[in-house]
Amino acid sequence: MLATQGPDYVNKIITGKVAYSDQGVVDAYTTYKAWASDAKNTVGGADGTVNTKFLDAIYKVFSNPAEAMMVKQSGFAGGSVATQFPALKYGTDYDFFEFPGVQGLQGGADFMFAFSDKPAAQALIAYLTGTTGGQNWAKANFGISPNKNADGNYTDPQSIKLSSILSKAAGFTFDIGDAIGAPFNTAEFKGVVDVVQGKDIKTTLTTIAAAQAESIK
Amino acid sequence: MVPKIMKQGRLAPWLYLLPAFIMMSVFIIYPTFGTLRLSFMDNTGTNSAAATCLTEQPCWGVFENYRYALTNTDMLHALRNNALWLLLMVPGTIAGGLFFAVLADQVPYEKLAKSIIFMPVAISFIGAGIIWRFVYDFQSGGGAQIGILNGILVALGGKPVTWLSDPAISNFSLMLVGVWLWVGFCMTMLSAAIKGVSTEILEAARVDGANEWNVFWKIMFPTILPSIVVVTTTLSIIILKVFDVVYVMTGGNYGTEVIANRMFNLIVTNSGRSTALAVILILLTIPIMVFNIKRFKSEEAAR
Repeated sequence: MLATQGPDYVNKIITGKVAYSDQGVVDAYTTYKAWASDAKNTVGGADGTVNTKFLDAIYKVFSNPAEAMMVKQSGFAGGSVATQFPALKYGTDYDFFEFPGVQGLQGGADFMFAFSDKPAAQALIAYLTGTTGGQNWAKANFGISPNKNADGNYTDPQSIKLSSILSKAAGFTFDIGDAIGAPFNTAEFKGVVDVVQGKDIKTTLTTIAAAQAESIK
Repeated sequence: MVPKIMKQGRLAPWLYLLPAFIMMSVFIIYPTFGTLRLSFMDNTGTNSAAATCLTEQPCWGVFENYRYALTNTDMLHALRNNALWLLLMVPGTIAGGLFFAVLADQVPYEKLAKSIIFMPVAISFIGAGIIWRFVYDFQSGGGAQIGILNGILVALGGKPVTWLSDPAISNFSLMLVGVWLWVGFCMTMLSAAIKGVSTEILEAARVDGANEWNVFWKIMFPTILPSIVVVTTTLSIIILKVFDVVYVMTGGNYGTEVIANRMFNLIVTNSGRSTALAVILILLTIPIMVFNIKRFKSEEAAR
């Protein structure tokens, strides 16, 4: 949906302004189902998509012989590869690229809240959002910072590439699974599985839209 | 003449009951009424459930949570699955228990056989769920099948099966775990009953020329029927509340949702609906309990 509709559309689904049964979602599910249930594109077709365990999906790329040529995953995948296959080198043995045609990025993020107006609290917020804080964050290699001052200070090659993609991104949305309430989230997960296993897309999306309406009200 | 100190006033029995009564009030009676009250409230437990009605949607007013429980598609699935568990898993377990009890009764290594079959009873539901997740394991792609069932299938030249994620078989896969867990319990109870069948009657029947099949159905079965009823009702109550196996193995996905799992998932997000499900579970259990108690009383009276 980030490619076909853009981050604004995804944000509207999160806030409930666009119903989950909308045509844009139907299109996205149709495309995904065609990919994910075809054994040509995936390991084991629909059964493989539903049953392959989370980390196993990443490892399939590195099995011998390779079962998959690539895997769609978030930034943490580099760490999982490094832990499981310490001999492999980022940049030569494996690499990543932005999902082709995306109109924005999705991700997780850290929120900063101050529960007090004390100068010390304000100073901490100012530091973390300011230049030095951003630079130090980048040097610590603790993931990508939403602070633009961090750019140019990352030392890890994966972070450098990720941060350049992020700063060029046209828009941003939180990972939909992180941003929606539990009943909606559960319904969405079940719905994706159902569709890959062959259930009708429109009926499935109507059920999820009902959960969406209830979560947001 | 009874010494005065031995005489008890009308109050004494109540005093004896008091500690138990206080405990029951605090831990059973009060929470039950609290649950009942919450089941008529909204997701936060502060307003009436009627406030959660959506405009132009069906609404049962204060019974809105019960409307959800009895009409929502996920819930209908859960209710259907609970019925399946009761209708298939309970008779299956008892039939299995009876089968093993009768067979074990006739072999010299009875104790060993019974110990092995009884062993799963000592395993927790969670443990059983984890063990059986390995048994049912399915590897996608070219990797070796590490699950024993798929390992056997592949070794025999078959194709691996997605035991847990195929909605057509997932429920039965889970019920088999339930049977495995409880068959030892049923066997023990029924075995004790079989040992209680008078050997004179059995021998008399055999002398009169009855074969083993007739001895079992015409003499043994009617004699141990009361025990079978006890096991059935006990197991029914346990199985109505089935949760752990489903939660560990499929999380209620792939068409395996059950009432207790919905209840658990909803308690965080919607206490009203969750407690409504709890009340429904209580209501479903009560008739079985009443039946159990009545039967127990009539048996006591017959003694």
